Amino acid sequence: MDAIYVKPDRCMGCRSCEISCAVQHSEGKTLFSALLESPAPMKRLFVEATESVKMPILCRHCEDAPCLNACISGCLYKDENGFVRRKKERCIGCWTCMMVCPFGVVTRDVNKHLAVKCDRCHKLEVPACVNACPTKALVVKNLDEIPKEKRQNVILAETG
Amino acid sequence: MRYVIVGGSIAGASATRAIRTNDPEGTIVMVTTEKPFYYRPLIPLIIDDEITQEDIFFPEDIQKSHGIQMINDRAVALDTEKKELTLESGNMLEYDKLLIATGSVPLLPDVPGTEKAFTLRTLTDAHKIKEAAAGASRTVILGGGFVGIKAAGALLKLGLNVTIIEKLPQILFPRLDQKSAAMVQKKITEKGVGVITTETITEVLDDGVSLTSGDVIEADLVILAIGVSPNIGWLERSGLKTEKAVVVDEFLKTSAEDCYAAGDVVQAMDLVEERPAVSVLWTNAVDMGKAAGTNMAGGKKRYPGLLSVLNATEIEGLPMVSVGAVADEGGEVFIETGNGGYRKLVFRDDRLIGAIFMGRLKNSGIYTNWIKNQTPLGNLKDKAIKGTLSYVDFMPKQ
Ligand SMILES: Cc1cc2nc3c(=O)[nH]c(=O)nc-3n(C[C@H](O)[C@H](O)[C@H](O)COP(=O)(O)OP(=O)(O)OC[C@H]3O[C@@H](n4cnc5c(N)ncnc54)[C@H](O)[C@@H]3O)c2cc1C
Ligand code: SF4
Repeated sequence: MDAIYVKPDRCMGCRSCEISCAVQHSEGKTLFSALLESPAPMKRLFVEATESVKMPILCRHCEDAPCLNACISGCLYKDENGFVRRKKERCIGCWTCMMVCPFGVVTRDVNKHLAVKCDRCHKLEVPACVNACPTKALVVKNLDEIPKEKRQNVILAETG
Repeated sequence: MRYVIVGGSIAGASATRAIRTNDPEGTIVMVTTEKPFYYRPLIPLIIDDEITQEDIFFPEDIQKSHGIQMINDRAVALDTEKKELTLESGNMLEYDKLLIATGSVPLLPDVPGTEKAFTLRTLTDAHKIKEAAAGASRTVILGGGFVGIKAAGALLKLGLNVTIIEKLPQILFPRLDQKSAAMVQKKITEKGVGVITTETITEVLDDGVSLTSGDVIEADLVILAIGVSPNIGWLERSGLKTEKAVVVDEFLKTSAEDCYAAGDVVQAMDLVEERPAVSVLWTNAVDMGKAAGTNMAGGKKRYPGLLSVLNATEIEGLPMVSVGAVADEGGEVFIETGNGGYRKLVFRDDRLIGAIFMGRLKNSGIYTNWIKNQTPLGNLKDKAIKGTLSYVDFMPKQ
């Protein structure tokens, strides 16, 4: 399966990925129009930092996804590419997915009363965040090509 | 291999998925009394038509996709020696591996007149309440738990006058602590729900309820929502070990060979309270079903235990997540309030054992995971308290 691979050592914390994510999920899909939209479009990934590391935290589209397992309304599902997606009209805003996502990447659209999460830009060839990163700290890779030790270290596809 | 599952709800469904993953060939027979596979937590939304009858059922036809032989009947007895079930129709059903997933049933107060009242556990119950509400103007709900409050919200929307009666001094115990429960109570009373705490009923009357104080509250619709009890009555003569509920080992196996149980019907270890508890939660039933199904089909999946409190919801515009030991005031407690929100963390030594998030829920899942795993916090405790914990903090050092 293709996954977005994060290389923390390359991340400068510039938040270009966050911005392009929000733009991609806006009505107008351009930076200019997105800035004028109210309510503001929401990003699906989050650049977080500690003293030693900066990096974007994003949905891992877990194989055994806690959010999907826990969803009490049948809103979350796995699409044909293995991406954890949302059937918007089924979401009742109970926030059970937020309660269980170990990465903290499901958020709340207060205005629409919907859970919001990464949809892997399923309509795009390359996800918006990956496209926007100036240092290639985000890249799409086939998980099977990455050595297992390294995968566990950096990608943390497994969530326990 | 012939798998028989008793109970066609989430524990049964989750087990079916796990069985099929591990054994594409085996025969799966499911006996259930209800139309199977709907989202039980959504039934309050049927009362005020917030969702349609169609949206309440699973989107996927798992009966078809997983090749389940469905039997609409009730299991009334189990012989674990002969590996055989007796059904209400008189039919017998043999199994190689059995899953007991009969869930729970509403608990009724020990007072006269309960037959005049309604409960809210099944889709049929929700429809009955909806019908009764059509001709009603006042309702009394006994029990200030989530089910009672959800019912209250739906009936209020239908224009009924709603009163909740709660035996304890606070609503939502033990799912919330006193302070956060008071915030919820304020929200619902502002909307118009009457809440009477430290009070209970002595009788359900034809036109209301009488209280211990001697007062009578008039109502043309009474709903009893004081909790549930595991549906184990039918196992009485089976010889299966039961205490509060069906006793299982770490692999969800009961005291009988080839007989497993999952969901509301079992008691399992509470991960933070460190004693057996009955879950009564959807999320736990999913995990148990998965482990039980895997083990029934020859795999080996340990079920580490449950969290008795693992709740997320929104009540009158107030979103909340509540996990672990949140209500008892023991342990080291950190509380933050402001902006109409509330955040509470409960620590035991170096571990997080409970958390409440109200208002702002971002990253709450990180805390849930910590409570589940019971990993020592080390130097991250400060960050947890400040609320700045993020997933980066758990990245292995480069
Ligand atoms: C109104 C409401 C709101 C809820 N909200 C939430 C929530 O937000 N979050 C959460 O985590 N949980 C919630 N719950 C709890 C959740 O629905 C249950 O924990 C979950 O349904 C348990 O699943 P189960 O499969 O163990 O049993 P159940 O869902 O109880 O299903 C058992 C099934 O077995 C069948 N059955 C029983 N006896 C027999 C028999 N002898 N023979 C054949 N079939 C039988 C029954 O008909 C039933 O279909 C809510 C419950 C209610 C009622
Ligand atoms: S649990 Fe979180 S990281 Fe995993 S699939 Fe769901 S949203 Fe993505």
